[in-house]
Amino acid sequence: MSRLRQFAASRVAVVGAIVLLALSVAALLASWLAPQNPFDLATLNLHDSRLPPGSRGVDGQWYALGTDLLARDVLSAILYGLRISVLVGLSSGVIAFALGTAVGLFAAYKGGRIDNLLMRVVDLQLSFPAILVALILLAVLGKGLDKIILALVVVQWALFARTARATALSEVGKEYIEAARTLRLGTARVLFRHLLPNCLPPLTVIATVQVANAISLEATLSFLGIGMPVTEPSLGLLIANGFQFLLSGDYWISVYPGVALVLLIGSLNLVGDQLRVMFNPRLQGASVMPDDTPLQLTDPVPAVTAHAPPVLQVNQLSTQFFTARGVVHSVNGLSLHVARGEILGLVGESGSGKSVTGRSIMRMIAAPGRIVDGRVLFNGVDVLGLDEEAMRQLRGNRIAMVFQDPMMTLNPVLRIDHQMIETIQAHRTCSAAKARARALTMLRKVGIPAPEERLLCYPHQLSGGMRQRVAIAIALLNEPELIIADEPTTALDVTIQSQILAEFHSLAKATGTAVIWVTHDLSVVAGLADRIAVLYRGRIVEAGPTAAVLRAPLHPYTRGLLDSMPTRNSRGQPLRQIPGAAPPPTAADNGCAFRPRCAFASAACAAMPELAPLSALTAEHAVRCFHPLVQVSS
Amino acid sequence: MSPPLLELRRVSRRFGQPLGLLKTLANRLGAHHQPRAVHAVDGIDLHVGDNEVLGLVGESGCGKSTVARLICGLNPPSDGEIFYQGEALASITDVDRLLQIQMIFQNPMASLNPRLTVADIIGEAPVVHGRWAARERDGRVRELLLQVGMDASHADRYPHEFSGGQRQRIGIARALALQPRLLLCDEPVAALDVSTQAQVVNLFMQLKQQLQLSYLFISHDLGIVRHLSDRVAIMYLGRIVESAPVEELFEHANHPYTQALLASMPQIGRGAGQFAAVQGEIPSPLDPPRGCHFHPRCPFAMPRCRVEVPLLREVAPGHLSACHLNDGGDA
Repeated sequence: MSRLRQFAASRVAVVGAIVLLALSVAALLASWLAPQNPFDLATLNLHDSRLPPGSRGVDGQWYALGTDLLARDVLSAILYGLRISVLVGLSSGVIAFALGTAVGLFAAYKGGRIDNLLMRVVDLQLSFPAILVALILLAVLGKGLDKIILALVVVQWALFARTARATALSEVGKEYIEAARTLRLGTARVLFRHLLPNCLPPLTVIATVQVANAISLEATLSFLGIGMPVTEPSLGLLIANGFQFLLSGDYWISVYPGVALVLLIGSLNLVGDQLRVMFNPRLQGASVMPDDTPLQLTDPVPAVTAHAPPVLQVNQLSTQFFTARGVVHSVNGLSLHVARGEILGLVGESGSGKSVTGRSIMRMIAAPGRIVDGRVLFNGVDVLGLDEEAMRQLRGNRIAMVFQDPMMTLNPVLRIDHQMIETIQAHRTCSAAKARARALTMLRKVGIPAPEERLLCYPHQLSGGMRQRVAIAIALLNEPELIIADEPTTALDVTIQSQILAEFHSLAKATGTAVIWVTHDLSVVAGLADRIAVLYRGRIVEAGPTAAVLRAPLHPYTRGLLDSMPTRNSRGQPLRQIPGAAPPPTAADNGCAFRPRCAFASAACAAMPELAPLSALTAEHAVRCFHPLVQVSS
Repeated sequence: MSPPLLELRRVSRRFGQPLGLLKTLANRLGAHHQPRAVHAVDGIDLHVGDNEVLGLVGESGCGKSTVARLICGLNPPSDGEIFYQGEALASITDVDRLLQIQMIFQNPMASLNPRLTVADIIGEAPVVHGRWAARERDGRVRELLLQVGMDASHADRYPHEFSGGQRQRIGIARALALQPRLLLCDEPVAALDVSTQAQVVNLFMQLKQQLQLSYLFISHDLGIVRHLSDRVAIMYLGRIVESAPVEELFEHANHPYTQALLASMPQIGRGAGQFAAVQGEIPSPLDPPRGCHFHPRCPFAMPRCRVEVPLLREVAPGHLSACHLNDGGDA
C-alpha cells in the first residue's frame, strides 16, 4: 500500500502508468475492440484505399483514423500492431531478464574463474551494437515472431547479467549470505531464496526500460523490413508502410502508428523512471519539510557561570529531521558551554543526537534536517544568524571539525601538502613556502614520523591511523578556538587510539583550543575530558566534571552505562544490564525518555524533569531526573 | 586423554592474486616473480576445549576474523589442518557434525536477510536439514526466541523492526536451532550500544552454562574478553604471540605487544591525560617486518628480533609467549 502511495508521489508517473495500462488493455482486447480484422483479406475493400481520417467507406464503414494503401482501417491495424509490439517487448524482456539474472547471480556467487569466463562473454556481447547483432541474427534466421523474440533475447540478456552480477556482488559480501553458507543451505537455495529477492529492485527498474528498448528495436527492425512479416504488421512495419505517402500528404498512415509507438515507449519509461526513484532512497525528497520560515528564536538563557567566559555557549538548541516516517526530534532543547582550553566529552548511544549536536554547531545540517530553535553563541556571536559567507570564514578556521572517517576531510585525489596549504590560504594571505612550513610543523605536532615524506603522499598511501592524524593536523592548521571531534578514534585500534588521545590532550592544553569530543564510549573520555555531558534521546540527562560524573553518577542512565561495563572483578558474574532499548526517535513523548527502562521510574516521570544541580554546593554537576541517585554518605 | 573439541595445527591462509600470464611465462624462462600475497593467518596453533571460551584478541587486520572463517568453512586454509573432535575437518562428510560449528556475526544489520521473517530466518536451516518437520517449525522457533530472551510473538516480524541487540539475539537463535557445540563469535557485541552490550554478553554466558557450549570469542575489546573467556590468545599480524588462562594473561602479560595492548585499553579509572602509548603504526600485512612482526614498535627489540621469528614457548604452566626476551636476550 505504501509502495503504491510512493509511486503516486509523481503525477507524471501516474499519467504514464494510466497510458500504459490503457494501451496494454487495448492491445490485449484488439480482436474485440478493433472495428475490422485488418489481416482478413476478405473484409478489405480496395476501393477504400488511402481514405483520410473520419471518412466513410463505400460499404458505409467509419474509418476514424483513415485507411492505408491496402484499405486497412488504420485504427484496427494500430490495435493489432500494438499487440505484437507489446508481446515482443514483454516476452523478450522477461526471457532475457530470467536468463541474464540467473547468469549474473551465479557468476557473482561463484566468483573466480566461472565469474571471469561468464563476464568475458557478457563483455564480448555488449561490445557489439545491439541493432547490428539483431540484424545479423534475423538475416540468418529469417522473419517471424519467434525469431525476432529470440534475437531480442540474445541482444538483451547480457545487460541483465552484468547488472545482476554488480548488484549481487555487493550482496554476496554481506553477512546474511555468509550465514546462509555456514548453515549449509545449498547453492540453489542461497541463490534464489536469499540472494535473488535482495537483488530484484534495481533489476525490475532495468526491465521496464529494457522492454521499452526492445519494443523500439523491434519497430526499427520491422521498419527496415526484416522484423515481422507483412502479414502480421507490428507498429514499425505500419510506419514503414505509410512512409512513402508522407510527402504526398497522406500523413495518417504513418503518423498515427508513430504516435501509438511514442505513447507506449514514453509511458514505459515514465513508469521505469519513477520505479528507479522509489528504489533509490537518496533520490527521495522529504515529504513534510516545512517552508524556509525564519527561526523563532527563544531569548538567550543567562550563561551558566563558568570560570572563564565560554568560547561556545549553546542555548536551547533543537534540530529536527522531517522524514517520511515523521518528525525526528534529534536534538531537543540542548544547552552546553565550553571554555578555552577545556575538553567537553559529549557521550551518548546511537540515535542520542550527539553527532547532530556537533553538526548543528557547525551549521552542517542537510535536508530533511533543520535547526528549528536555539542559539549557538561563538565568542558571543550567534552562529545561526550569520550569512553563508561569514559562516564559511568561521568553518575550518575558527571552528574546525574532525570526523570519524578521515576521508570526510581529505580529498582522495590531492596530495597532503596541497590540501594543507589550501586550508591555510583559504583563510589568510600567506606564501606557499610559509604555509608548507606550517603544515610540516602541524604534522610533527600530531606525531607523524617523517612528515616531509608524508606531505608528498596521497591519502590512500597512508594507514587509517595516519589519515586520522593528518585530518587532525588539518583541523589544527589555522589555530581554531574550537574543535568538534566526532568519534575520531572509534574506527582505530586501541594502541593507535591511545596515541591520538594522548596527543589531542596535550595539544588542547598547550594551545588553549576548546574541544567537544563526541563519543559513545565513557571510558574513552575518562582520561581526556574535563567535563562530561551524557545525552539520551536528544537531551542532556547529566553533566558535570568528569571525576564527579564517573565516580558518583546521579542519573540512573549514567549509572547503568557504567555498571554495564565489565571490570576486572566482574568475571563469572552476569553484568548489570539496562533492560530494553531506547525508544524510536519518532515517538512523541513529553516525559523522561529513559523511564521505560528505569528501575526508579514513578508516575512523576511522565513529566519532563529540569536539568539542574542537586544543591548549590554541587552547582557544576547537573542532572535531569526526579529520582537522582543520591550517595549515602557514611 | 580425549582430543580437544577444536584444534588448529600450523594453519595458514594466504590471500593474493596468482601471477599473471606474462609473469608466469617469465618465470618459466628463469625469472623469479613472487605472487603478491597477504599471510592473513600465518601458521597458527589453537585449541578450544569442551565448554571452554577461548578469547581471540587482536587489532584490525591481524587475521582474527579469518581464523573464524577458516574454521566454519567459508574459506579453506592454504596450509595446515583443522581438527574437530580429533578428526580432520576437511574429511568430515557428515553434515550434521559440520553443523555443530556455527557462527555469530558482527553486524546485526547485515547478518539477517531483510526479506525473511524471523521464523524463516531461524527455522529455515533445521527444516532444510530435516531436523524439524515443517509443521513443528513455528513452535520450535517460539521456544528458541524465549530462550534468547525475546517475545515469542516476534516470529512473524521482519529484521528491520528490531533494535541491534534484538537482531543479535535472533542471530544467536538461528545458530542455536542447529544444536551447535561450538559457536564462532566474530566481534558479536562490537556493533551494539553500550547499554545493550551487557544484555548480549550475559546471554552468551547463560547459554554456555545451559547448553554446555564452547566459544571462540573474537574481539578487540579486552574488557569483554576478560569478562567472558577462560583462556585468551593474542594475535598480531597473522601470528599468535601469546596465549594463557585469562587471569594469568591479564595479571602477568609476557609479550611486549600484550603489555602495550593492556596499557592502551581505555579505562574509567584513568586519571586526566594518562595515556600509555606504544609507538608506531601497525605495519602493512602486505609487507610485514622480518623476524618478530612486532620488533619495529617494541621498546625491547634486539638485533635478533629483526631476523629470527620467535616461537611460542611455555613461560608458565599453560602460558605460551613468542618473544626472544624469554631466552635471556641474544643467543
